[in-house]
Amino acid sequence: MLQMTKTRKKDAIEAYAMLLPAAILLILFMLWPMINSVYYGLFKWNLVGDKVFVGLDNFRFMFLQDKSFQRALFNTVGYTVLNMLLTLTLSLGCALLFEKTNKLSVAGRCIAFIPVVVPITVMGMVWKMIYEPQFGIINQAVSALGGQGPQWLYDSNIALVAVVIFNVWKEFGLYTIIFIGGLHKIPKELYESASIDGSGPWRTFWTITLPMLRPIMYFATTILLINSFKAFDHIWVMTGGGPGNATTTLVTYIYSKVFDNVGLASAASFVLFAIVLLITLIKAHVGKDGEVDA
Amino acid sequence: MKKSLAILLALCLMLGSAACGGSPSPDDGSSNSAQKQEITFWMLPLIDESSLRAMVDEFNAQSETTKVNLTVLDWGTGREQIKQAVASGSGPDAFYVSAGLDTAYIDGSLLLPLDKNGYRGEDLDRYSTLIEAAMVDGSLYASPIVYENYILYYRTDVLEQFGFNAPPKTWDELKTMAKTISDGSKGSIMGFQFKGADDQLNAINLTWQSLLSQNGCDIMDLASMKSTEDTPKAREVLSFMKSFYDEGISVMGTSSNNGFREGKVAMYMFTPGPLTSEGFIGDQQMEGKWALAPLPQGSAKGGGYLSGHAVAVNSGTKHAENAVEFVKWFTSPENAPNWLQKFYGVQPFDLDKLSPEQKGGIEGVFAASPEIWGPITESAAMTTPDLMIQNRYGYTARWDGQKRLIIAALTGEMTVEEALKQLDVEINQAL
Repeated sequence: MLQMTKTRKKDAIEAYAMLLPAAILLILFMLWPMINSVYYGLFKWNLVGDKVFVGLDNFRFMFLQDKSFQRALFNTVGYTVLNMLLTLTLSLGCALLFEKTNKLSVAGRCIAFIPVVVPITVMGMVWKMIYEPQFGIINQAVSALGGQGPQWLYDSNIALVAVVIFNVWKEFGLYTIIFIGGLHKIPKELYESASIDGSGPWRTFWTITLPMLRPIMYFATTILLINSFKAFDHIWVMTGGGPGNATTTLVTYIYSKVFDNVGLASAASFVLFAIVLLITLIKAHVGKDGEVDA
Repeated sequence: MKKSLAILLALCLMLGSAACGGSPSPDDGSSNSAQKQEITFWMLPLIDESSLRAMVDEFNAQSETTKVNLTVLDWGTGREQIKQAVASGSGPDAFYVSAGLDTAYIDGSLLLPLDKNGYRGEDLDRYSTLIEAAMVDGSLYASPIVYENYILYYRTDVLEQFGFNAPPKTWDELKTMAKTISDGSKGSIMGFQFKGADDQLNAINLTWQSLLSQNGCDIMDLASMKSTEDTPKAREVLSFMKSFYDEGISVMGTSSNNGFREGKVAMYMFTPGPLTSEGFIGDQQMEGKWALAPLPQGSAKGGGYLSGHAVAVNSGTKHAENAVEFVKWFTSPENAPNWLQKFYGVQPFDLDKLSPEQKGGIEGVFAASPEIWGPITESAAMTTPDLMIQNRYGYTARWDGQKRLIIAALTGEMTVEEALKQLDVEINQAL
């Protein structure tokens, strides 16, 4: 008995020792900056002069006075909802289309996945040119057909949508592959039974495919949700948060404030953290059964 | 429980990455060579990097005491890199600053007062009145290289096509002529574009402040230390700008520089930068089809936007004497023709107080291209350092805010009143 306890103790020490390097890195580069960001949120500081303690003033300013922050909050939610909706719909559709193992499906998967492997900032620059109102290929094509294309990234009303379209194009391939993996795990017998019972494709999708994809869907939506909330690089490259505040999200807001008032940027970081934490906890609670083998 | 922990961990990773910022590698510039004291110098590419290196090499060849190691940063992030490095105590001995100074440097006592460290009375006397922008409480904190002002670019061929044989002299004329061209060409030629409403980058700051200056506006009340972007006169300016887009004279997004080169934009206002950066000078396809003019006048007949480029010495340097020796040489009247040949800007000296050789060198550059230098110097003569000085306060917040909110008003995302009010809110928060 004593021998067994000793062995377990030794195993535990070994396990902790192996975890230690990763834990130190995590504490140094993740946890510590995170705690710091909450601390800095209580100060006014421009990186150069002295830090001035302002209590909750930064939070009060953001929520009560700063229309740019309020717009950033609104845009972030809009971006997340639209991005999730379009990406999930498109990737699930493509997964259903390319789940077979024939050459055409394999080619389709490859084509869908190509944008995922190209650096997002490079593609952001390319799409910025594609969206260019005068010389961009979209408006050139529209013009050739006798129409007049929109101003895309320069129109406050559609700039956010244009940025979302780019991100959907960039990311849907990844989710397509994830969904194909999920589709392959659904037992074929279920489809055979449904077919014998006379179920059509639409009914089969809603009653078998979608429920059976729930674990994968849970995983995909969680990742997509977090990625949408922290979207930054392509927005910064394509619009810099503009025109005006039209594509300013919480992360672009944080970035634009950090050189001017670290406190304000830190406070906004904390707000972002709190929102994502809240949504993810709600989602985890609601989708409790979904995580099984994702 | 495990799931909640996993989620918390993922979120920690996300917030942690948002909170981590990059910083330049420290460089104390203190390495000694056998004969000369080495110093570090961080510069922005005011002219091409090879020309900057050539100038530094020339200094290194002629100085018996100092060797300068040059690092050229980019315009996009260079200013912040310098500021962070200097503030953290790891900055270079000498570095680029805006000629109007950034109050963060002053508040942090990060700049060496040059007048107490090698700049004598006669050195200061030879500057024009614009030098005030680099002074605080009577002390000089940066040595200006060149200033940048605003001028009007116009396509002579397009104006002639629509019956105009001279550029506009007032805002009213500008709008009338622009409307005639935009309407008359059925939109295929834009009569006028506001620089910065095209690429929506920093240039809108320059355009905005240019028009403010022409309309007699201030951007700061230095007595109360409050931002004053939202005034009736500023609203007039923004409404004037907005009217171009509301009335279909101008279209957001169309590039001023490209459009002008192709004859699709008839007029725009900007710094002399595109003369070299866009290659307007020497472009054979544009030859004889364009010209420059002083800015059309607003109600106050101000000279428009003015900014400047300067070099400062780190107050924490261990080699102040060497750094000042270099800065003095780098920004000297003898070097002014070198800068002006590559950068069409406003030279910082009072020509009448320079030696005949120094004066002759600068005037020789002007005489080589009077059609370019005429409008630049004419516009410059009307400028004052006032806005440049006011710009010091809340500089980063102002430039970020103006860039977003002026555009927001032009696109109709916000009303003119909302945009300017919000601008003051954001700047005052940062002050």
